[in-house]
Amino acid sequence: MASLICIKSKSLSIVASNIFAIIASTLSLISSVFSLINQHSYTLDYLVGFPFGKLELTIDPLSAFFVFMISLLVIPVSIYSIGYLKSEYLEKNIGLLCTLYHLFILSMLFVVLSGNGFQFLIFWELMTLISFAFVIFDIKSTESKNAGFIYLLMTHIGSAFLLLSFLIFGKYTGSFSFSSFHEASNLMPVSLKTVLFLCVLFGFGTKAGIVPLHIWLPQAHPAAPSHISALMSGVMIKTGIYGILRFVFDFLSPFPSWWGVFVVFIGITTAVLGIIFASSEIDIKRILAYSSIENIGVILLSVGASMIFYSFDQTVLATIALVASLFHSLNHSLFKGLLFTCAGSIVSRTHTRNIEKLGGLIKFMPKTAFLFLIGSLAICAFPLFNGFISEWLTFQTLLTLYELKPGFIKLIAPVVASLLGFTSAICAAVFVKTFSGIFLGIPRTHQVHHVKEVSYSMNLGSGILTLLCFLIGVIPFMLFPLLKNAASFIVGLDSSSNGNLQNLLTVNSRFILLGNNNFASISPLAILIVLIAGFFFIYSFSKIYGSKLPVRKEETWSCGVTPKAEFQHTPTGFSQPLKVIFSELHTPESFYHNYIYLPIVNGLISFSHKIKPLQSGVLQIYLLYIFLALILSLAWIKL
Amino acid sequence: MNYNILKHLTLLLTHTGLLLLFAPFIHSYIKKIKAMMQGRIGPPILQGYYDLIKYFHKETVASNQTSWLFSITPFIVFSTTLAAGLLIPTFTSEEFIVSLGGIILFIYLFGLGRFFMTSSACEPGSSFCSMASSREMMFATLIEPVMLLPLFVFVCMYGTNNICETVNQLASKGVALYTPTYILSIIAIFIASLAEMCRIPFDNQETHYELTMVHEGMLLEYSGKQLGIMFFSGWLKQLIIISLIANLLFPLYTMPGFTFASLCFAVIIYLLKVLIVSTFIVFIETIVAKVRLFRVRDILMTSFIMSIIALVISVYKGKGLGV
Repeated sequence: MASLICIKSKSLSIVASNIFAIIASTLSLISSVFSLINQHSYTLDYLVGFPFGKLELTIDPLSAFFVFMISLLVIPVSIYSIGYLKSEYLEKNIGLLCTLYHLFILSMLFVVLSGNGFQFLIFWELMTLISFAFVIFDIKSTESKNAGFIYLLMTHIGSAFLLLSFLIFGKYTGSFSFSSFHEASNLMPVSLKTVLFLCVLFGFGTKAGIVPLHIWLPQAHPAAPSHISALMSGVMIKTGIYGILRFVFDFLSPFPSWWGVFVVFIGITTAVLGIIFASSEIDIKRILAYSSIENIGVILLSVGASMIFYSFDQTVLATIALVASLFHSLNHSLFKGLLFTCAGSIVSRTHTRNIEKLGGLIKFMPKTAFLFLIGSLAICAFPLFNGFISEWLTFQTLLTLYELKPGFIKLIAPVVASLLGFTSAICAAVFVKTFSGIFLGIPRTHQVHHVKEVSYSMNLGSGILTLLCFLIGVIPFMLFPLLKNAASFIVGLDSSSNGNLQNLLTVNSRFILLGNNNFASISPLAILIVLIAGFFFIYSFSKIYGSKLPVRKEETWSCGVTPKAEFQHTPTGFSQPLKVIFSELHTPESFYHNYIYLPIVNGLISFSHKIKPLQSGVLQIYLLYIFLALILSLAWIKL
Repeated sequence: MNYNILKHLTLLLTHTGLLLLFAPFIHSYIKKIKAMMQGRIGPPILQGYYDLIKYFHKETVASNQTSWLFSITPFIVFSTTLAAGLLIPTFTSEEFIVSLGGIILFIYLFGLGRFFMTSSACEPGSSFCSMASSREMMFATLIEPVMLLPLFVFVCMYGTNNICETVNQLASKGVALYTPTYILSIIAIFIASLAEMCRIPFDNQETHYELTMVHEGMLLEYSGKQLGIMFFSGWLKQLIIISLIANLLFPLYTMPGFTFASLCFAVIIYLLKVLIVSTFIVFIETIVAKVRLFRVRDILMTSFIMSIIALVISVYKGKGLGV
């Protein structure tokens, strides 16, 4: 905790604390890769220094993968935050911010490493509280306060459900250790398991942001500082996915197939609605927050597909589906980290999050524009970038569901897959709107003209993420051993059928093949080569053939008047056609507030009013209550 | 040189060359036939080539608001379209580049080109361009699922994601091919393709009124060579989609052996198929009026529902709905 030591010198503390964060996460990155490759599980017990028993840290391939994901994002984000904190938060309490930053990372790591239910809850709450502190860091603004309140409220309702399910587990096993939870699954009846499943889905789903439990997400993420938003959106909400995977596959298996169908249904609803909400937003960080909701939906789609395969004993296919979901989690953390850091750069220079007030920034911040463009391409899942590979795998796993027997599953598989295509098409529309609103066209306000490019370290941080997005998109083969080990551990695929997995998911240095008789295949390197070849063919052709005059720059044609910034479409205008055609789906936030949350709150209030007469304040009545309670409990014992 | 490599190289070059050379012709052919159907004489059949030559010899003028993105967009749009062209069968359904990708890549490559085209249209700060770009994105959100679902029905039925492989399997079926599922899916693909090609009833390529332009509207600020490349990419995309439909509709061709004669024969058969489909498109364009912008959704939804029906038939065929 270097930041605590050097509170005195602010800029020194920024550099030092972030360098410590980088070193620590590099170490954890290396150790997680080793444990993923070796597929070992270790348990470390620290007897001292932790309240309520020993500190139990377990690293198995599943948690190692999430440690890998967190560390991979923390390194570039820490580099970024050196410059970001210097430019934005120098006059605020830097020491506190840096300490919280470290604690936040540490709590996320401990959440995925906990080997004990009790500890897990403590770290889970710690993670929530620290991120709450970040949300209300800008304490003067009422927006932050509201966001913080809703965040705290929603996550605590989620935690209550988690606590309930942990207590039920604890009752059946007599222990809070995850290893005993694992054995409990055989003892429990199916109905209880279903209740537990719903509790877990609700609890972790609140954190992950599934619709309609998402309402805290678009408020909390924009309120936090940008490097924290990158971590919150990139990895913190993925701890919800971790929880779902851990519980469903580790503690609650075997389970009926409708669980998987249910998760697929939630996934596609979240994905479609999340991105449709994003389409009408004009606050850059809210757009990114909504698109995180969409991506959680995409991840849940393949988790659900994997659950369906698992319940039909198709463990090999279940592994492939999980590879898709883990891969998309990793990719989402990278490109969302990239986009949030770029958004931070833009906000720190222009002091507005409203994209209607921007425009034309590509001339003033060319590097940020390029990085944001790559991030947008990756998040829209276009070929050559990492999002495409994982979304392609998701498509394939959904289509493979057609191989299963039940007609219903056969029917939903292609429909859900085409709806996934629908979400990524809207995603493209949203990011064309965002990118062109911020960077292209004529600047809409005067302050844009004085904007300068951000500092070197900020661009370096985003640049590393950009490079990772591109490299994973072109050579995804490097990551497959890690993904396969983690996924086959979760579904309990033994090494004898590993050869079978090899056959189904063939990955070599050239292409990925899926399926027995060449069901689907893709070659990212060949796509790159073909695109480069096509580009240079037409480029050289246009250089050689035809007119040799240089490009002349003239004013934009606007019916004879001087073009003004007001002539352009605003981002709101850009998404207006989308809003019209999807008006049925396009429910504003007040819908959830008015029709889902408000009835619950009103119901609770009227219920409390109804039971208020019980508390009359008359002593005799209270004595009567005690007497009645005594009689009832005696009767209970007698029975 | 190894015979196999030679063969594949010849096929690849013929395939790419055919697409590139034939794209302007199909564009002019459609224009000509349409004019004839409407009782006009129409432009010469080689007008597309004349236009391209003209554009390439003109000076390029760009808006002073534009940046590097605007000038590289034509090249990117062209290369993504050409790459998509390598994924579909034309005169032969043999694969040229082993496992480049399947249907999903095909759709997403068009998406990548569209992303750059719509972004660049917002660059000059012109109200017409950005409006067209916003409408194009609206179309895209509707077209993509509607195009994907019938293709996915084929993927599920024939167990392959590769379009060439699908066509091979269709070809091996003979007359038994024309099942209700197949016919409904083909109609659905055809409707979505009309929208993807910016044809009536979705978009009118020949309009001269900026407010009704969608695809053309995005090209308003382009000129000279850049405009030429943009037009060419659009025509190439049109030919690629027509070839896809033609090969799904008439998968009845073979290339026995690899001789010069069989190659020529296959190419002629292919051109005939493409001309038949183009004539049919002209027929549709002549008898149908362009619909209002927001009615586009209803037509595309009809197509989507048609492919859902196709899917239901294929799943529950011979089993009854009680399963």
